Amino acid sequence: MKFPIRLFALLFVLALIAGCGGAPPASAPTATNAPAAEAPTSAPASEPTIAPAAPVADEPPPLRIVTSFQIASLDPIEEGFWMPEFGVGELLMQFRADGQYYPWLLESIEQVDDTTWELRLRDGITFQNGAPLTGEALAALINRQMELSSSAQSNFAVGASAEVAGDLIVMLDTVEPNTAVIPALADEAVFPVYDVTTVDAAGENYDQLIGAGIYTGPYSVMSLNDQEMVLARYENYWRGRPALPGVSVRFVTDPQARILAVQNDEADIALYPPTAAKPVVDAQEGIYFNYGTPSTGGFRMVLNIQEPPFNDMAVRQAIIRAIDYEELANDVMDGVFGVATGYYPPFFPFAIQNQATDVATAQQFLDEAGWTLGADGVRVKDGTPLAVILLIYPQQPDLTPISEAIQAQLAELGFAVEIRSVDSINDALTSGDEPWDAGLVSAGSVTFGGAPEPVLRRYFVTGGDRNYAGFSNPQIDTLTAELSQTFDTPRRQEILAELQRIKIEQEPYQFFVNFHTGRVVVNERYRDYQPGFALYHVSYETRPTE
Amino acid sequence: MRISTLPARSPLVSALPLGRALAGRLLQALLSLLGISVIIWALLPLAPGDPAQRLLQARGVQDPTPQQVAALRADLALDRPLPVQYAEWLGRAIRGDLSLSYQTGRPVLDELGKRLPATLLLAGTALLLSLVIALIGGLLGAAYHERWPDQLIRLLTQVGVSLPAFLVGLLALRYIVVELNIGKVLSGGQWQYVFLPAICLAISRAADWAQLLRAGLLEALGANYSLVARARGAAKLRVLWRYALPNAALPFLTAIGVGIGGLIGGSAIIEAIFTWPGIGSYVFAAISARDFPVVQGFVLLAGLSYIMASLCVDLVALLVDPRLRDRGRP
Repeated sequence: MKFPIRLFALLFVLALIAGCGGAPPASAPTATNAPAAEAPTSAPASEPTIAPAAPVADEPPPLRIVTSFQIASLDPIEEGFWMPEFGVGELLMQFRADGQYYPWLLESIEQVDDTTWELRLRDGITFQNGAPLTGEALAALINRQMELSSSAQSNFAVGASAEVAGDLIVMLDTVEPNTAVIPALADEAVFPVYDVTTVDAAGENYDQLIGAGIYTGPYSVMSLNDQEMVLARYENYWRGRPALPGVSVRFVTDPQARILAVQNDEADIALYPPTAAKPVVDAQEGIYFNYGTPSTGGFRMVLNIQEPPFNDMAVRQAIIRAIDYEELANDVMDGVFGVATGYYPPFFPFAIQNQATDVATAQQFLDEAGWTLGADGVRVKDGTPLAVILLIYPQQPDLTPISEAIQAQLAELGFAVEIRSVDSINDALTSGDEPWDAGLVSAGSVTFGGAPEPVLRRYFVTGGDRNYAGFSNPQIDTLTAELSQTFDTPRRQEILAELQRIKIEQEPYQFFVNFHTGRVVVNERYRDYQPGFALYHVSYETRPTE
Repeated sequence: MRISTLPARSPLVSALPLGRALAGRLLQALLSLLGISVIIWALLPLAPGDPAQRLLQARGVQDPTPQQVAALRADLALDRPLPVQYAEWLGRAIRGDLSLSYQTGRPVLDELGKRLPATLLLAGTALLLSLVIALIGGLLGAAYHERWPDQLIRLLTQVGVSLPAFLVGLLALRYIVVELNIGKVLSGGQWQYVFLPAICLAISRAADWAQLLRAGLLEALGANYSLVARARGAAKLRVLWRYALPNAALPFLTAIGVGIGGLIGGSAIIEAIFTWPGIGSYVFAAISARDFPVVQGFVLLAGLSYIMASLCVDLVALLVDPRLRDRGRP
């Protein structure tokens, strides 16, 4: 009997074809079109505004976003900070790319005395469930956050509270003078505005909050699961009718899959693409790598000033001048990152641009300090080579090309840089288990809401928990303490200017090698979409490119 | 005088060795699970990165203060001695409670159970594909030993064994889904999109198993019973199917048992690449977030699935191979 090779081959091909399945028929529900179908219909008749509206001719389809972070639940304490980012929640104040603050849900904010602030709400704002945002609702929110939210507690002294002073007026008592009240009101994790009555009624059953319209933003949460959050337009939004019928936010951890989803027209916007993907995206048709203005943070270089070689001030003065910041931002990172020109990004009104590449002066510092160039190209002083262990960490893949570029730049000056990757950079810099001379850490120059004081206290003031190498400068301690008590803007500018001069010009210890930017990959429909400052990805005006 | 004769083999007597073997394997399984739990509890705290700090960062606290970290550590009972934490966890685990996820605050068992169907669909399809491909490849290779089908299969299986699943996955997404528009990048766990991730998961196993089966079949074909059968005029296919395959099946079955455990536990990368909402991608994220209860629960369940698969394979082997059943019998 002849062996049936053809039969086997046929079976094999059939198995492959049967398994392939292919795309479902056009009428089959797809994940991205699911929102309307999945929208609950049990909302009371008096609250039809949060139900998805029927499609209108010429109306754009729902926006499809893919992001890396999963929103675990609608618990406003732990997960509420996501909501302003996707147009669901709103804040009392807004911090914008010009470094200034603008009232958002507030009409005005006024400081009554050192510890009392009057917050006046805009008239006519309602939660998506139809309940009005009143002074009473706001006071309840502030007091609930102060009781339960660690972010709120870390921004205000114990005992801070709010009292109703009118239909739309709330008095905020900070107990102690707090110069960072406005930044705290602009911080998405501190007071994201939600309907306390509905949230309290739901208890810990956060699924009950789906479709309950507890926020005030242009889009309301209609469903949330492990894979996706689906939003529908809130028709009565106070700033006008939102441009889109809805938004879907898919949670996709793999960055390549997010980009491919845009390329395959399964998503319109992919958030958090790796910088390394830019050349690949640029080479494709129909998808674009867009990036916005520099953010408030970047990669911060920390120097171990307790050990050689950075216990020598001349070496610290040299390294801050030896790094080519323009090359890092424009060449190594393909223009995606902002150039570090000072301790604060240049859009801040108080920023001083006093950080620049100056290789000749760097050489001069090293020469005068006795670091002589050896035959192997590495400088030596008293038998000690100018060798540096630079720590990076894999959670930030951009650090690999950046650290390698810094290694090459410093080698020209006589540094021998060894790059080591550690799993937890904060542990490595604080535990003492890992030898290090320098480290690159992704961090902000100010808080999320734009306040410089807390960052100064943690990174530069003696004993700060992020003061990795035990830096201590009495002048910085005094100036930071004064800043934390000073409300007068001109004086604050003076203090901040002096602090920047010390940190960059006199005693370099921690400085930025670049500033981050928001970046996205978009399809043709959203070609002109620009990443929002402070992670505001969706607003009521977000719409496809005309 | 009445002479009693024992029946040749009563069902009760037949079942006894099987029962003993089963009881022994179950005991081994319990001890293995206990060992696994001790190891994972001893190793996890050594992983760098504080769970409380990572959890706060995942909750949007970019730079948590020491006070925030300490408060959360107390909330999660991470400030208690490790043996005490372990003893409490074990007590709950015995009652079927695998604790709460640090990230979601929901019971780990519910979280894993919710994702289990998607993983089973993916792993089951991958297993089926692996078996079909391995059987076809192994049988063809043995039947056409040293001829072009055999040489082709050897080449393909060598390539298949050495291909990492994540690379196959990324290439499949790029060239099959995006270029050829077959399937979806964001599959969402729908059954009609299971083939592509399943084949990526199956390729290396199928290649490995095909090589194993082919070698076993060739050995069996060279054995005396096969030569006698051929000499008596039996067709090659009949000898291959009737005599060689059953004898080559035992090592093949053992490999499948090991492979099933690997499929459940090893699908994380493929699940992440294909956004497949199964256990693997969930645990992948939990490891990054140092969500210890999820990782501990998963390792326990993966160990259990591995042990159960091995147990099933042993039972099947006992059933199909009379030599194993009769071992130790006079």
